[in-house]
Amino acid sequence: MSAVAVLAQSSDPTNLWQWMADSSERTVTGDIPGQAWVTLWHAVLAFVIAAAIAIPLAAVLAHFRKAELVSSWVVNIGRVIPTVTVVGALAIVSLRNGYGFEPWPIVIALVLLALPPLFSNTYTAVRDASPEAVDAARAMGRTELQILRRVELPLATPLILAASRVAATQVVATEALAALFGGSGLGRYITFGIANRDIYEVQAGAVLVAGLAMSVDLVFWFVTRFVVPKPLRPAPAHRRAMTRSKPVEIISSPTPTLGGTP
Amino acid sequence: MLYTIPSLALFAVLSTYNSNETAAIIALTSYTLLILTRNIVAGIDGVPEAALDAADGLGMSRIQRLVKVEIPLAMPVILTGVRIATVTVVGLVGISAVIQLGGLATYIFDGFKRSYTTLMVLGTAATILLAIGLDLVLRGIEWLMTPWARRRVAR
Repeated sequence: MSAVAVLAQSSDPTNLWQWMADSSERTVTGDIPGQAWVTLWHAVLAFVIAAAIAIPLAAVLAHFRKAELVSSWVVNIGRVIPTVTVVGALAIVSLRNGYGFEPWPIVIALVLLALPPLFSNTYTAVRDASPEAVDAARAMGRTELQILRRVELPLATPLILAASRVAATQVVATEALAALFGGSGLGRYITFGIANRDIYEVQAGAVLVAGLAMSVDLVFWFVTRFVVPKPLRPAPAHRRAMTRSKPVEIISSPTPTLGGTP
Repeated sequence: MLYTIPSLALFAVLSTYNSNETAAIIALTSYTLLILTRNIVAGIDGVPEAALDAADGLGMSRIQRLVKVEIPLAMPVILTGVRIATVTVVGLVGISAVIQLGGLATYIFDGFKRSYTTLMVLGTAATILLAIGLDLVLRGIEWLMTPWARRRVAR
C-alpha cells in the first residue's frame, strides 16, 4: 500500500522543480544537460556566423559610408521576417535535401534573426565614431584600414557589444522554436509538455530556456566589462534627470576652458 | 528580461491557467508593453534640453511641459515603438498557433505536418505581408501626427 503511495507520489510531480529533479524517468526528451548543450551549440553557431558576417561587413561599409539606407532598412526587414515560419520552411527544405531536421534549419533562422540588429548597430556605431579622432588618425598618416581597426572599431565597441548581447540573448531564447519542427534542444520540453498536457514539463522548459538566455546575458555583461576600452565605460548615474538638476551653465565658450572659471 | 522567456513557453504556461485566448492576450500584451515602455522612456529622454529650458522659461507647469513639449517631441520615437511592437506581435501571434488559436501560422504548422511546401510558403508570405501592411499603415499615421517632422524631411 505504502509502496503504491510512494510510486504515485514519485510519478506525479507537484511542481516543476520535482519534475526537473527526476526528469530522466518521465520523459523521452533526453537529459537536461544534453538538451541545454544542444541549445547552446545551435545558438553559439548561429551567433558566431551572424557576427562573422554582419560586424566586418557593416564596419567596412560604415567606414566608407556606403550603405546609409540599407542599414536602416535591414532592421525593419529583419523584424518583419517571422522566425517560426523560417524554421518551418527551412526544415522542409532541409528534409527534402537529406540534411535532416537539424541543425541547419534552426541555425539559419537564428542567423537571420541576429544579422539585422548586429549589422545596423555596428554600422551606426562605426559611422558615429568621433570624427575628430578619425581626422587625427588620418593626419597622423594611418591608412584607412588602420583607422577602421585602431580608431573606429574601438570607439564602436560599447554599442556593438550591447547589440551583440541583445542579439545573443534573443537567439538563445528563440532556439526553443526548433522543437516545433522536429529539432532537439530545451524547447523539446515545452513542445512535449504541450503534447502530453504536462504543465510541469512546459514550465521546466520555460525556466531552463530563460535561465540559459540569462546566463548568456551575464556572460556578455562580463565580457563587456573587460573588452570595452576604459575611457568608454559609462560613468554611473549618467541619467538626464540627474544632470538636469545641476545649475544650468550659461557661459559656453567656443574654445574649451582649461580649468578654472573664465 | 522578459525577452529571455521563450514566447512558446509563455503561451503554453499561461494557457494552463487561462483560456487559450486570454493566455495569448496576456503574453502578447506583456511583450508589447516591454517594447513600448522602452521607446516612450527613450523618446522623453531624448527631448532636447533647449526645448525644456524654453518651456520652463515660458512658465509652463510640469504637466503642461509634458503634454505640450515633451510628448509631441517624443512622438516620433514613441510611434516607432508602436510600429516595432506591432510588427513583433504579428510574428509572435504565429507562435500562438501552438495553443490552437488559429492564425496565419496554422498554415505553416499544417504544411509542415503534411510536408506541403506551398501551404508553408503561403503562411510565411501572408504573415510577412500582414506585418509590412501594418507597418505602412502606422507609418502613415506617424506622418499625419508629426507635421513638423514632415517639413524637415521635405527640405
